[in-house]
Amino acid sequence: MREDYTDGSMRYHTIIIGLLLLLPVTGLSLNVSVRSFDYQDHTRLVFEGDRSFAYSVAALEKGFELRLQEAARTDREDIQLAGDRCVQKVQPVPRHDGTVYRVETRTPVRFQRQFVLENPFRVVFDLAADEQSPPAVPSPPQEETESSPPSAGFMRINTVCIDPGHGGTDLGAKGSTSDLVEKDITLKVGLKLKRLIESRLGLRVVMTRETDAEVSLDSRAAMANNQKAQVFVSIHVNSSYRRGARGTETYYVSLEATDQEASELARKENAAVGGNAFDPAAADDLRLILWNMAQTEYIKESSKLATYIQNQLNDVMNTRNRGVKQAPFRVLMRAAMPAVLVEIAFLSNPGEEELLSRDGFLARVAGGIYTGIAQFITYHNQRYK
Amino acid sequence: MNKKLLYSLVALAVVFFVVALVIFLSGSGAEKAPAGTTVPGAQREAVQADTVDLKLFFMDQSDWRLVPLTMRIPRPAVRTQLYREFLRLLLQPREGSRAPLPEGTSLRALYYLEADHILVVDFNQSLVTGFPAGSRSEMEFIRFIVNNICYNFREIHSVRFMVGGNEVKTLSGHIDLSRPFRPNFAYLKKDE
Repeated sequence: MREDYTDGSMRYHTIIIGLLLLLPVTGLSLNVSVRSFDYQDHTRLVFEGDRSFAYSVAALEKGFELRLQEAARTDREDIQLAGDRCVQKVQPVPRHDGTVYRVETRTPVRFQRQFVLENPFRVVFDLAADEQSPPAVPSPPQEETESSPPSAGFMRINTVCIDPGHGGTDLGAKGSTSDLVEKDITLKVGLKLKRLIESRLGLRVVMTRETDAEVSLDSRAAMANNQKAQVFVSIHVNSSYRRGARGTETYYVSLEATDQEASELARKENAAVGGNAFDPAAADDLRLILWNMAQTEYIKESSKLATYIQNQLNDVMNTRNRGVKQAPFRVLMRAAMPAVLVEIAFLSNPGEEELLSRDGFLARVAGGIYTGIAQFITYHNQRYK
Repeated sequence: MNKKLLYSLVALAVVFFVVALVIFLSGSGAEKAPAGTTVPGAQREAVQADTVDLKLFFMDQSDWRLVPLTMRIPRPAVRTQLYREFLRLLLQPREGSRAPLPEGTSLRALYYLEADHILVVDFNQSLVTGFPAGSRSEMEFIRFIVNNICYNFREIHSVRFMVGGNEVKTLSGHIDLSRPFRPNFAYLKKDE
């Protein structure tokens, strides 16, 4: 018996050591990336592993420690703190029994929420300022569900960000019969809109550009987030391979582009073809990916803002029944506030190109967008007063 | 007993080394895939029939949907060659059928990520340098490529875009290209 036990034990140890030897071959070492986003009332801090990991949390006077029970690797470029309003620094500290991520915050914080997501594995903390008491260790993680209440800002709107698309060497769309370029048109409309909002609503307006400057897509949303804007409106001019394409379109974010006419047919058509477009498992993947976007929390309000603006622009363009649309616009995905993108008209359409050359038309467009924003602000402020 | 343990460990390490070496060498002849992707096993898959029927969908100025054009081509020996040939036919200038993409656009490479059912298509720089801007143009291009591929090859569930061998954020400043796109067959006009 003794011999059997010993042999069994030896085999057991051999397997364990063998598995350890396999680590470098199978890539089971743990890599963790860290990112943060600022929202109106909290900061979201996400630790993403290339596989799941065990951890515990310990509170600090200003911040907390995420303690992993194994060694993890995090390079400097793996820490992206886009939200720096609350989180000052995240420092991975190797220890003999694992790796500790020391999160230093500017002020004492409390854990608004904490949850874990899969595929990829993520530990998510929503942190809010807490001047009164040191942070309590959060309760055990719970599975995030679709029914979780949104925590969109309950503040009155006082800052609007206007984003005139393109600029500098990035001309955007070009006219087919003239030398009109998108970057000039969007700047003209943006500046007119700024004046209207400041003079009539008395709100602060942040512009992503006020001159013919080149600004990267990611900087535009970051600028709005850092300036704590509560509404983001990106202005563009459209172009299509179909010369007949015309009209105004207002978009809010989604992972897949939709058109009014197509979305009406999509489910029926895809089902008829037997495609995989509505595979429930895949739909669930999309939901999880959505939680990764800063814009996720604001999609309902973005839809409302888009509807107000589109209704006004339908009047300006004398078109009816044009609904709002959804598409994965990069500039909107990182905005942590209600955010929409307006495509004023088509430069590829000779008729609309002529309209876009008129200052009077651009003033009416700015007026339409202004009225839509004003209606949204009234709706928002009444809802949350 | 310690010797026994040592011998076992050494033997196990040798086995792991040999297995790793075999895996490495068996993958070395395949097309190079982007970091973090799997080597497409379907590349080596033999096919039976001599010809294959394809339905290519192109733009039509009188219809918002893409209209079909049926073709029969010799079936290549491996599946990724079939994908490549399909895209070559789709991109080539054609009398009466419009493809929503800039002149000079061609396919650099493609990778089929079998485990995820994703086809990664890597175009040359002309796609970006000649792109007309406008979000609608970007959507037209993406729908054209994704719907055509996924309609003809049902094993492919989504398509991811690269340009010049690199990931790109957008084509001309609008639609985010960092994720794969799924098809929407509502944009395809079926045979009347």
